[in-house]
Amino acid sequence: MEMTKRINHLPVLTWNKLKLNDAELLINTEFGKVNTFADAALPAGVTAEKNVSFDELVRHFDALAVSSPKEKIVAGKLPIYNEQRFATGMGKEIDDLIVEADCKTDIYTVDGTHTDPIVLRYDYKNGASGLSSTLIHAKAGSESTWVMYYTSEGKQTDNGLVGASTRVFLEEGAKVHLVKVQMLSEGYTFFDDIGVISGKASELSLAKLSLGAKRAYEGFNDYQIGDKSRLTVDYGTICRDGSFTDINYNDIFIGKKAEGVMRFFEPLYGNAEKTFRGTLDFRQNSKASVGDEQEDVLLFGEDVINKTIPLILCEEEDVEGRHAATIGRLSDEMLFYMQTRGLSEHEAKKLMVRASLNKVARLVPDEGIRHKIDEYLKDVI
Amino acid sequence: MSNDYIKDKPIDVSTDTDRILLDGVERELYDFVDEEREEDFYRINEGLTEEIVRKISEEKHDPDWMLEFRLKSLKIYNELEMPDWGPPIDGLNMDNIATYVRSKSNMVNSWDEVPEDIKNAFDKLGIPQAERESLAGVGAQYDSELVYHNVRKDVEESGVVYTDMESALTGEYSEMVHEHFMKLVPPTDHKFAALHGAVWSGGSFVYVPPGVHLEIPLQSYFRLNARGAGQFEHTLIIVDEGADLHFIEGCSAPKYNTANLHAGCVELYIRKNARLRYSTIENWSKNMYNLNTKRAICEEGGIIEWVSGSFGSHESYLYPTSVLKGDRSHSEFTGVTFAGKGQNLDTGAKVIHIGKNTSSFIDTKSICKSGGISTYRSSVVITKSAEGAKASVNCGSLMLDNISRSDTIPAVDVRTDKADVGHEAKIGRISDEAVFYLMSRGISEAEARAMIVSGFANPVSKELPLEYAAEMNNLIKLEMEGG
Repeated sequence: MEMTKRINHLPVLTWNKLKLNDAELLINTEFGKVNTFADAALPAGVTAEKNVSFDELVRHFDALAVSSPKEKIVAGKLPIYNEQRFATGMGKEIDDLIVEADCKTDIYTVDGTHTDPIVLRYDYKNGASGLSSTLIHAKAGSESTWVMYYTSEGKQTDNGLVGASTRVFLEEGAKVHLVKVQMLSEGYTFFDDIGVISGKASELSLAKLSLGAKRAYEGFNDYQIGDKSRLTVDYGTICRDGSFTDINYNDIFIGKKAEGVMRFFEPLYGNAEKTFRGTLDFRQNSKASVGDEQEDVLLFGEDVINKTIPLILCEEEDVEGRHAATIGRLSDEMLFYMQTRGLSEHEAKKLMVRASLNKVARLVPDEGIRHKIDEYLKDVI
Repeated sequence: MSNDYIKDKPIDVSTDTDRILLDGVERELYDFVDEEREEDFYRINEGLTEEIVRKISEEKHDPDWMLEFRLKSLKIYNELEMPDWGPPIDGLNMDNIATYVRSKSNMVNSWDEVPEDIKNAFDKLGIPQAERESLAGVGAQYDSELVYHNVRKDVEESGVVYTDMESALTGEYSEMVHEHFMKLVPPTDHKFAALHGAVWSGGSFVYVPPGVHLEIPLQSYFRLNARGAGQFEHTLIIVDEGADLHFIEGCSAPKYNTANLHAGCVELYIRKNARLRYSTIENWSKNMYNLNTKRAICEEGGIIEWVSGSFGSHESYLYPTSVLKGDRSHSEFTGVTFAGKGQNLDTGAKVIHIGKNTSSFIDTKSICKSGGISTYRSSVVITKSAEGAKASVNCGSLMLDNISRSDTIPAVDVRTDKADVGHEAKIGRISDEAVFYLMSRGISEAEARAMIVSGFANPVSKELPLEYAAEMNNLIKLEMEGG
C-alpha cells in the first residue's frame, strides 16, 4: 500500500507559504494484524464488540445520533471536519485509510463506575505495522479510566507504521480518563487520531505521552456539545534529533458553560522539526464557556524547526478564551536558581525537561507503565 | 444588584434613546459623495488589458524601464491565483474597475490653486487645517494622482525630499527610485502586488538625509472619489542613517453601491540606526476592497514602528511586514481593527527576523459588532541566523454581540534555539461589572460601552499625535453608534 494522506487540517486556512494548513502522511507499508490485548478481563459493566466494519461503525454513530455541528458564520473557512460523521483531529483521510486497509473497530460500551484502569496494549514486534480503531461509548453517569499503550519489541531502528484511531462518545454526566502512552522504537512512524463528542456535564481528561517514533502525527478534536462539559488535556512529547512531529488539537465549544483546558510541553533537540496547531473554537450560543490553552516549547538544538499556530475562533460574545505560548530557552533566572543549587547548566536543563514530562507521567494510573516511562526518560534525556 | 440586571436588558445602540453623543461627528464626514463632472476628469476604461496598462504608462510619461516593468507585472498578475485563505473577494471584478482616473488640472503646491470641488472635499476632511496645525508637509491624492503637495520651507532646507512619485521617477531622484521601486515587494509576491506593479499611479516619495530628525510628521491623504475605480498609489520612503521620521497616511472614500478597489503599496527602507514611525488611520467607505501591501526593511539598529487603525472597507487584507535584516534592528506593530456591519477585515502583521539580537513586538486589538468579521492574522519568522532574537505577540479581541465573528490566527516559525518568543491571545466581552460601575456614575449604558471600547483601543490611540488620536476615538464612537 503506497499513498499520501492530507491530514491535520487547520480549521481556518492561512498563508500557504507557511506550510501550516495541513500535513502529509506518507504510507508505504502493508498493515499486518495488530497484537492487541487487555491486561485483564473487562470488568462487569464494560462490554466489547470486536471486529466491527467501518459501515457498521457508521450505523453505530446513527444509533448514537452523532453529528458534527456546522458553524453558523463561516469566514473563509474550509469546513473540513464536516465531511466526517464523527469528526477527529486528523480528518477524513484517516477514516478513508481505515476503510482501504479494512481495519476493524473495537467498540467498548461502559456502564457504571470503574475505578481500576482498563489497560489496552498494542505491541508491534520487529518493525511490524498495524492500524487499530476503537470507539469508547461511555453511557450516562458512567466513569472509566483507559490506558492505551503502544510499544514495539525489537531494535530501535525498526521502522514500521503504527496508526490508531480512537473515538470517545460521552453521554450525560459520563467521565472518561483517557491515557495514551507511545513508546515505539525510534525508527517508527506513528499516528494517533482522536475524536470526542462530549455530552452534557460530561468530563474527558486526556493525558498523553508521545515519546518514541521518528515521525509522529497527532490529531484531536472534541465537540463539547453538552452544557457544562469539561475537557482537560495534558500532553508531553520529546522531539529527538532527526524526529518530525505534527500536532493538531481542536477544542470546539458548542454547549453553554463548557470548559476546556489544554496544556502542551514539547522539548526539541538537535534538528528536530515540530508543528503545533491548537484551536479553541467558540461557536454561537456557547455562552459562558471558557477555554485555555498553554504551550511550552524548549529549544535545545541549533538546527531545530518549531512552528506554532494557536487559533482562537469565536462567534459568541459571552465567552473567555486565552492562549499562551512560550518558545525558546530556559529562562536565565531559572538557570541561575538551579546553578545556585549546585547543578550545571546541562543538569538543570535535564531536570526541567524530566520534571515537565513527569507531570504528565504522574497521570498514568499503571505503575508498571509509569516505571517504564521513567526508565525511558532517564535513557533519552 | 446582580449582573443579571444588565444581561436582562439587551442593548440596542441604534435606538434613539440609547444613542451615544458624538459631539457632531457623523459618518457623512468621510462618506460624502461629490459626483465628479465628466469634463473635469480623465478616466481610463474599466478592465485590465495590456492596452490599458500601456495607456496608463503613456499618461504618466513613464521611462522605458517602467513600461517594461508594468507589462511584466501584468503577465505575473494573469499567472497568479487569487488567494484561497482570506475573506472572499468574489465581488471584485476587475472588468468593472477603472484603474486610472485623474483630475485634468495639474498638481499644485498652493492650496488656493486646487480645483474648487476637490478643495471642498479635502476641506471637509480637515486636511489643510491639519497641515497648518501639526504637519511638516502634506500630500493629497484625489483618485489616481496627487493634486496638492507642500512641504514646509525649513523641512525642505534640511534636505528632506517629499514629492510625488511621478516627479521622483523622472527627476533628480530617478536613480534612487529605480534602485528601490518594488524591490521589497516584488510583483511575484502575490496577485495584488502584481496588479499594483501593472497599474500603479500616484503616491509619495520621501527621502530623509543622514542624521536629520523631523520633529513633526509628514502626511499623505488619499481620497478615492470616483465610482467603480481603483487607487494604486505607491509610497516609497528612505530614511537614511541615523535619521528619524514620522509619516502619517489617511484614507477615505465616498460610499457607492459598486465595488471600489485599493491596492496600494508601501515600501520603507530604514538605514542604520534610523527610525521610522508609520501611522495609518484607514477609513475607506464600506464598499471598498482594501488589498494593500506594506513592507519595511531595517538595517543595523534600525527601528520601524507601525501604528495602524483599520475602521473602513468592505473587505481588507492588510499585514504590514517588517524585515529585520540588520543586527539589533527592532519593529513594533500597534494596531486596532473595528469590524462593523457588512465588514470582513483581515488584518495583522508579519515580522521576519534575520539579523542577530533583533526584537519585535506586536500588540493588536480587534473589535467586532453588528455582524462584522474581524480576523487577526500574523506570522513571526525567526530564521537560523537571528541568534538572540526576541519576539512578543499580544492580541486581544472584543466581541460586542453574538452575531459577529472574531478569529485569531497567529503563526510563529522559529529556526534557532537562541531565540525567545512569547505569545498571548485573549478573547472576551465587555465585563458587566465595568458597565455597571460606569452606569452607577451616571453614564448611560451605551456611552459606558463606548468608553470601554475606546479604552480597549487605547494602546493605539496613545501612540498617535493628539489630533489623530481624537479622530480615531471619534471613529470608534461612530462604529459603536452603527453609523
